[in-house]
Amino acid sequence: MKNSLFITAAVMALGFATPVWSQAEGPAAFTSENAILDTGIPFAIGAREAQQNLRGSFGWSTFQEGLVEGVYFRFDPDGYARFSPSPRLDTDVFEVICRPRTYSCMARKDNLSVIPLNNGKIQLKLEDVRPGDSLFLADASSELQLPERILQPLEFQFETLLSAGGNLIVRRGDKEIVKTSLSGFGAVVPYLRWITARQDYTVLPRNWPVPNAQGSADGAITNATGWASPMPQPQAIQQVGPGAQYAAATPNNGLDQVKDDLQELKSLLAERSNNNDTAVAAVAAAPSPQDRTAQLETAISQLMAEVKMLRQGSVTPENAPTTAAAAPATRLWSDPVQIVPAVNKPADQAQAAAAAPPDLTLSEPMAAQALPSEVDHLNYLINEMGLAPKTAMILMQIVGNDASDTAKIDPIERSYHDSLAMTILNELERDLAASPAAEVSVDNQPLMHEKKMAASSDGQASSAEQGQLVQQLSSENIMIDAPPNMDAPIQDTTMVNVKPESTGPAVSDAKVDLSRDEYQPLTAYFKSVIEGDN
Amino acid sequence: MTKNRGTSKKSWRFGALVFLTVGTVLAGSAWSVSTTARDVFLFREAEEIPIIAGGNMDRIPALMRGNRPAATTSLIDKTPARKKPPRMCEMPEDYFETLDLEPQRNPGYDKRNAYVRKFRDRRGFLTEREMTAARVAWKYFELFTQEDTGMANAVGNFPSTTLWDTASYIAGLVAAYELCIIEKPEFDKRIMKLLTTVKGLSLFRKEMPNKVYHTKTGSKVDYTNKPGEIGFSALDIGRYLVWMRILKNRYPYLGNTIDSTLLKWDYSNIMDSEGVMFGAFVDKETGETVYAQEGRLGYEEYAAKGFALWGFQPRLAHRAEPFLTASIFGVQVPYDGRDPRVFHSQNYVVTESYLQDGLELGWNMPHDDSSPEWLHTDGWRAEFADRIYQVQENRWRQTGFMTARSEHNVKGPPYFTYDTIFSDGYPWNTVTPRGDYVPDHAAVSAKAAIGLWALWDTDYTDTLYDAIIELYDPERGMFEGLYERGQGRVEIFTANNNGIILTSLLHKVQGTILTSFAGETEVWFTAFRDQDIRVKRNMPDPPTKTDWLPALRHSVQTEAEF
Repeated sequence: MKNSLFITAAVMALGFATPVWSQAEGPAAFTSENAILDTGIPFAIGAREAQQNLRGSFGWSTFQEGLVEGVYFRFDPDGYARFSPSPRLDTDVFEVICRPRTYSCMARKDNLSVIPLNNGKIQLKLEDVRPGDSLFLADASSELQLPERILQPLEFQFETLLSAGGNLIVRRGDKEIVKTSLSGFGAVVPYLRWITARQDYTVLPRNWPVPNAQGSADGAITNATGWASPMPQPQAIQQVGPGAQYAAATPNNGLDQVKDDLQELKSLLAERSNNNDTAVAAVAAAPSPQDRTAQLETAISQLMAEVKMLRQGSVTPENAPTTAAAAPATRLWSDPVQIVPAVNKPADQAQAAAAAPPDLTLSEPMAAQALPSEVDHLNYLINEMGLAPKTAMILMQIVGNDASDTAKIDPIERSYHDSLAMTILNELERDLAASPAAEVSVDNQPLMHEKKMAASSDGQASSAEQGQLVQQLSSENIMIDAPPNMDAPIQDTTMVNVKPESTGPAVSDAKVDLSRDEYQPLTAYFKSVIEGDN
Repeated sequence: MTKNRGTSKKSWRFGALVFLTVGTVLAGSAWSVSTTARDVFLFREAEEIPIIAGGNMDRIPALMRGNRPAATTSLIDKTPARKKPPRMCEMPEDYFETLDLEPQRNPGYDKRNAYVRKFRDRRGFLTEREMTAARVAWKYFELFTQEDTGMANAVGNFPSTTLWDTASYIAGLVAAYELCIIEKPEFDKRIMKLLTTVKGLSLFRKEMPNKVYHTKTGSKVDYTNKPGEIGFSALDIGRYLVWMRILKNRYPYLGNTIDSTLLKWDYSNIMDSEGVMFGAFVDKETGETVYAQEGRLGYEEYAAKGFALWGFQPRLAHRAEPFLTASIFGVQVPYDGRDPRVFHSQNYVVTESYLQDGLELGWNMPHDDSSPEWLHTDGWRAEFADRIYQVQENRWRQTGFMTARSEHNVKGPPYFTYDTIFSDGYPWNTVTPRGDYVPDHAAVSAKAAIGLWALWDTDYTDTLYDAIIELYDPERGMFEGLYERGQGRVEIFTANNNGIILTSLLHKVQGTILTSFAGETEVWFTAFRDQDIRVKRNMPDPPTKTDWLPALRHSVQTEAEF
């Protein structure tokens, strides 16, 4: 994520260094397309729109002027603005210019440039500053050294610090290279965000003097539910700093940025879960039916040999292969020899699995290779839940891995994974809710789940994340599909593992109330299914 | 001895009686003699002055009032009217030797409040350098005049203009013709095309010309050059009226075309009964027309004279009041007294309006068509103009900054500045229309420099001349100016700048641009007499002597005040 921000900042810096920032020269700058602001919308309480006495044939006929955060300001419809502690706007001036016909603006004062980034943060650029120079924030009585990273995308804490005013000083050795007043910084930054957010008040700081309901001449005491308050609205995910509101107020750029960040997070998670690489590779490279048949024959022969050994008493429980849960689930396919000797499974179940109904989505060799209980669950996932075979298999694998992986994760790391996963999932949910896909019919839900699952597996999410995803998918499917009269195999499974004394509606209740904290019991449920506790 | 006890002549009663008798007799005699003497000495026959039809004493009805000639000084005082000078190429070599250019009086006001300046105009033939500058300035109009409409762009190749800038184009056209840069066929072709376009312009709400027009289509546009309407500007229209009068007086064959254009307009809201000028704009919220007083000291009086030249009576707009003065480098600089914080209109003091009054109208009253060039009958205007010049020369002498300040365009933000001598409480204030202080855009304005050079023949204006006269692009015209802080030329080309420079050069050759009207009646005054249109549109009658604006004077500064 940081890398992406650095890249963004670098691109922006390059962009600002190019001459495109010079405004359209001459009267063409006053074409109506260049108007990006409505000067009738006050930037702060007390600001007013004024008309200009134009002697010439072109220009902006209106502007807005006011006083906020201790500085006077005026801005034109093209975004050009000046902020100054002097009412003449003549000294200590922050000047804002915008790229013609865009919302890309920057502020500058002396050697200091303030550039807004897409994620709501800002970046400072100081001319004549070299690596090794020292940065200080000074007021009348004291001086505070600043880290060099204030020249990177500015963190919220530094932004607040700089907004307090004073002078930004750059020293090279004992020599003072740059000294720039920060007066007006606290007003210019919100102004830049306000422009980018199309004059949306929600991007302004919480203590900003926003005009409230100005212009609503209907005199209504209460407002309809559709009324858009000019005050900042609570966000679904509260981030720290003004950039949080910015993300919500800039639908296009913000969503893109969130998606980019999510992608970045996923790649980071992928690096952390190298163990799953082989599993995914195995799933992706599923063997052909002929190979499966050969493997099955081999497995049967080995199973027969094992049965023979057991009958001969040569195999002790200690010598027996570990449980299926302990073994990587993917080996069900890649190394059937190790899977098939699931000693706890009766041979008749294996035969029943071999006699699975022909309408199974799974190919018969695959079904025959799976243990009978697994086949049942696969049937359930595929036929009742509507998952694709591949997805169902991945789900089975995840459940198989869950217990061991969860146990291996350090508690702190697990918490980190959980929070990341929750963030990702919430973002995905929000994206889906905001997208037209959220309105798809119930019949389409499995497809959406497949996509989520595929996204998760592509990104090599952690087992915790996968478990959560399982939880979510299961609960959603049950809520959607829960049939009033479940057929026998499913009913048996459900009754045994969730609420043995309940029937269908009880299952539904249990799933509806699932929360994040209940994810472990659900994982245990799947684990028990795999292990064939029933 | 017998005592006479009869009436004694020494008694007090007798004395009183004699005194009263004698007094009465004497008073009666005196009254009788005086009455008789008055009857004798003051006797004359009762005089009946015949009222001549159409004469001053003929209170003729409105239907016939238009036939009356407008009262001017040449008509009333029977003094010779100013004649249109010949074109430069038609002037005899000794032309300037025959002119009466030397003042016959000492500087200052005369009893009629006319003013004699202590400075002289520059007069004479143009030198080669000046002719080159004139030709280059005309290049602007050759390059940026739209063939379809005959209108010239106000700024470079941006196709929009105002009536102010159109007047500047007409100024350039007249100068080009009079300086023999173009000939009459070219002049007639251009002016006819332009006048017919102006006549066909769609007006702002069927009232007056819109503030801005698209020069390619002649359609109403807003400040972003998109179709729409803004309102109208009394100042722009006033300047346009000045040049319509100059055109009509110089070239009477254009009279009908000019009159028919002006007769289309509705003057009912642009000036009230007190003579205050009003501009109009559209209320953003309601969309209704809003009329607001327009004009500040300098521009207001110049535009007012434009209206007065067509018979209007801008009595209040022509007055300097309310004005105040600010002492800058020892000069009491007059500025408009209306507080910008209250009226939201800047009270900028620049050179341009005083220059235009001097170059085009000779700082004369609108009814004056006969005074000598050295006498300025609108005295306070000439005296104020001298202050405007003097303070700029003083700044140069005391700070080294070459100064010729005016409003001008700049390249890039903020695109337009009022580069003022004084405004909003500050001397040498360079401000944008919205009031930002932008000292980096301070410049020696080319039009101001050449205008000062033409009207003030001094060493200082020689310096200005050297700085500006070659400040041009030979293919596009004269540059707008020269940045005061050393950033080089103001690389933008405008109709106003090139038009005023051409006017200044023409003034050197011909003197005051406005000449007298050679005809008697005008369609402007006679049209619609049989209808109520003139009343509805507030069209004036030909002015009589009683309608003349008053010539005023203000206190004169005799010595420097620091």
